[in-house]
Amino acid sequence: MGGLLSTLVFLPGILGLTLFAVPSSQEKRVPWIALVFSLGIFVLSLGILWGWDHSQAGMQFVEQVAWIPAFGIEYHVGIDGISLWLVLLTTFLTPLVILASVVSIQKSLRFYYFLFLALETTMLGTFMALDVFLFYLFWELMLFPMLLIIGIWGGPRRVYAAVKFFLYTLVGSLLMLVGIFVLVILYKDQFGYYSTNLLELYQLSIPGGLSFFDVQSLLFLAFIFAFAIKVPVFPLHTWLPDAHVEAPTGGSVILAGVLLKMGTYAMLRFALPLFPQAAGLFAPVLIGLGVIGIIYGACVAMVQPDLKKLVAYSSVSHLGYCIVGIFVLNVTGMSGSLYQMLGHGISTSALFTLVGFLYERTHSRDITSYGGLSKAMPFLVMMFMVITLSSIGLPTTHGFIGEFLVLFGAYELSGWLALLAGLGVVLGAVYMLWMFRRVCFGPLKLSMPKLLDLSVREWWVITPYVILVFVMGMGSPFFMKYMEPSLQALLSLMQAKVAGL
Amino acid sequence: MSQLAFIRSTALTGVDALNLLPVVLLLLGGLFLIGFELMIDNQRSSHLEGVKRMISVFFFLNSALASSVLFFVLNLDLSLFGGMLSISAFTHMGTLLVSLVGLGTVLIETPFHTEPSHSGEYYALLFFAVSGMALMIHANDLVLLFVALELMSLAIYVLISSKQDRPIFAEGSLKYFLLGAFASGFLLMGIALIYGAYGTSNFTEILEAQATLHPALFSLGVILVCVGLFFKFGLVPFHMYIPDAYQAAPSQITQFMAVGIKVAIFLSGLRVILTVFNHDPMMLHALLYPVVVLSVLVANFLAIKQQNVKRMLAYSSIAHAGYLSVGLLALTFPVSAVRTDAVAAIVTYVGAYGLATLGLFALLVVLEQVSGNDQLEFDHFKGFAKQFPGLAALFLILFISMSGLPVSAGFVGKYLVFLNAVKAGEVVMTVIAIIGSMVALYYYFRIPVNAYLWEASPEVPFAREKITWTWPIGVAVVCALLSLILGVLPQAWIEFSSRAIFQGI
Repeated sequence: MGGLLSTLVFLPGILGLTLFAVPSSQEKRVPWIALVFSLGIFVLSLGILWGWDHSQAGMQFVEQVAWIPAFGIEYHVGIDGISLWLVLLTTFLTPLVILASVVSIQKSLRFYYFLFLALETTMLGTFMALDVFLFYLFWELMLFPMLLIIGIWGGPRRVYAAVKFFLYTLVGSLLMLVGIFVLVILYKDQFGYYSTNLLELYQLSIPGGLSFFDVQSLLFLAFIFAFAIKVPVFPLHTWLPDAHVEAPTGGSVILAGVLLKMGTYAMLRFALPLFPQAAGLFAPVLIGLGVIGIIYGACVAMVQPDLKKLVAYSSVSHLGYCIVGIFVLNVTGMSGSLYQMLGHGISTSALFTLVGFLYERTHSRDITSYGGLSKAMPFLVMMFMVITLSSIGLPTTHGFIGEFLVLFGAYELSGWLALLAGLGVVLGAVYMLWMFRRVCFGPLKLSMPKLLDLSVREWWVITPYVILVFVMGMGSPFFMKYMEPSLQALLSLMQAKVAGL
Repeated sequence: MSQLAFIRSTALTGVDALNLLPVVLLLLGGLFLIGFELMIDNQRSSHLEGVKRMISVFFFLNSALASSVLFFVLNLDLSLFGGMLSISAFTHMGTLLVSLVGLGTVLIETPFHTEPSHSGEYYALLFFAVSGMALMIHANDLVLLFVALELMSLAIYVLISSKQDRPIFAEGSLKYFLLGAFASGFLLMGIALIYGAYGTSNFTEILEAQATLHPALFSLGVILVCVGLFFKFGLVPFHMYIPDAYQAAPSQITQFMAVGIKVAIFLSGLRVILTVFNHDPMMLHALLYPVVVLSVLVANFLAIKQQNVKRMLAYSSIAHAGYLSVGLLALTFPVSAVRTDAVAAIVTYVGAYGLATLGLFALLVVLEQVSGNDQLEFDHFKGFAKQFPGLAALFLILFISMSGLPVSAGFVGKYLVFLNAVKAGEVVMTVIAIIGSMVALYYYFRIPVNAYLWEASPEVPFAREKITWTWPIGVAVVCALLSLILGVLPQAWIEFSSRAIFQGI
């Protein structure tokens, strides 16, 4: 199984480049070619599951090649329980996104599908990089395809939204670069040689983490700032609504489904194990911001007239759960957070897809122009119902597992915290169900054009989401048994480092 | 020493002459072209444009080749002409870089004369400027440094005045000349004071001297030399002439100034700092620190308001001088290993910056020729990617390298310089420089954003032109490819830079 991860990382981009070789006469076939490529990548990624070693809590499928020996930089990739499902989520979503974009994207097809495949390369690289330099590379690179996707095929304010997203995220990650420098030099001082190997950097014990302005805390802040913009953590979330609304459907799906998770993944992979004392010190702040995000996101979502903006703010709210789950610093909370990440990737992606379907039919995202869709499109509404309920967190859907575990983990810390966070569940139900009622029930608005129910292609797009909703809801032990050893190892590492000092 | 001994010491051996070959080739090239131009009459002068170009390329290429061979093969540390000139791997690397800059300038230029061109003189001036740069890097004595600096500057004063059809161009070139003359005056006064303090202007002798009898003279001399050098670097607040001068010059000369002067001044400045200023590094640190902070912040903020592409690139070059100076700060650090790494980092950064600048100006030259408009603005690039997808991709790659984003040579350069700065304890400075880089992202990405994300407006200047394969585009492609390749596989290049050292760091 050597080379599997590198193949997964680079193959999408390479295959995407071949799309440019398709002649203009055959341009209509480009989406289908891209679909075949991405399905192939997905099947390949299932090979990771097949070759998984359950006794190993650390990195698997590791590939390590010296790259810039002068600075100890290596090409180092690996996967563990934390990144496994995120990688699979990425390879799972990409074909669905490609299939969903077939009708709505009409210009520069080759470039569009190339960008999605290139994006897949950078996303997979970010999840699998075990070298800090390599991670930084992929982290920055992923912004370019997204900038172009939003900026070229997006809505009326696409340039503003795309540039805002691009600059905001880029500025955040520049501070992380300084953090990386300091980290590398601290390692050199302590161990005598340059290394950007993350696993070796884990061994570094950095003084501080006891007050807000010592070395470890400042490093922690430098890293967290970059990740917090990505998640996004309140109050650094202002790029999100614009980016989601203006992006084409495929862009929104991948942005919500995968890109946001990179922030929380990076927190688990970098901020926590590298700076455990500082993480403990800042945990209350971040939990507080997470709770604010949950409640604020839900409240603002409630008053949105635009369907896409509502879903965007619901993302802010759901990811608040992920933040809370991470920073309660216990296995329950973290598994809940990871599960919520995966679940959010499914449900919000499905929501954006469905909104995209509606938009293709009516060219309106205004909730007030909708009504009584259940009369015209029963099947679509049925799917919509399932996804809405999973987003709210109904038992037997994945949302329940994620939110429940996070609340449980929060309760281990403080009962009041669980109560506050639990408000989010209630508020979530309020805005989602209210939106659903306004859009799907009630009288059919006469201003609606002739509405067709789901086409065959759309069935193929939405059904995998729905299946996964139930599989993840009722079969959670299957997913958990991959995640838990690695999360446990992460916490043990953190505790050992804190105790060691 | 006695007169005979001095004469003997200045005699050249065969090996010495070999080591001087690159510089000699550059000077010969200049002299040959002037002679050539004198011997042919006006009419044939225009016909022989291509021949003159080829001759220039020949000499630059050979100089570059000679210096690279010397760098790899003949790794000696010599000092010639009574200690005034030094030869080392560092000087060979420097000569290689400036020869390549000269080569690039010749390759990307498109003729801007219409009347009998006398372009032989133009090429000769290029050669003299490059020889001046090379001699600056070779200089082991303040006086030689000054003479070489003047050689370079005088040639450039003339080169940037080539366009005279509008008052704005005369203004820019005159500003450059006057301020440059002022700066040289400061520099010379400072050199005189340092000579007064130490009794010698030779780098090695000053380095080895015990403390001076006249510390006040030395301090004043350092300050004045620094002022002169900062003018030439283009650091804030000595930068006022740069935007006008860069805008006034023909684009290939702007590129020549932006890269060549930086290479020459930074590499020779490196040596000055490590030898002459070695007696009081803290004073240099104190002088340099506020200037660098100002350069990195002010230049980037001023660049945001620019609408003209060349002015934007001028301000960005001030900012890059600031980033390079962050590397210079590391040279005042007491640990020798840090200083060696700092030298390597600066050389790497200069290489990356040179590649990106050369590529960008090559593209600008082409677009200016095609549109007939030499004051290109950002709005002209709206919808550019639809018309010229290849060129737009080149712009994207080159701007990624300029802004120091990953998978580009610019990132490797920035990584090295900032890593060294942090090693030397300059964390706050690095954070400030990074903040400057953040601001810079906005204006660097204006062209790619306009090109890709906006629709073309009806009056777009290049909409109906077809651009054919010309040398400038080839140069731009090579620069973009190299920026990408060196961004992904920088190991070999970092090793070369680390070898560009000299004794006594």
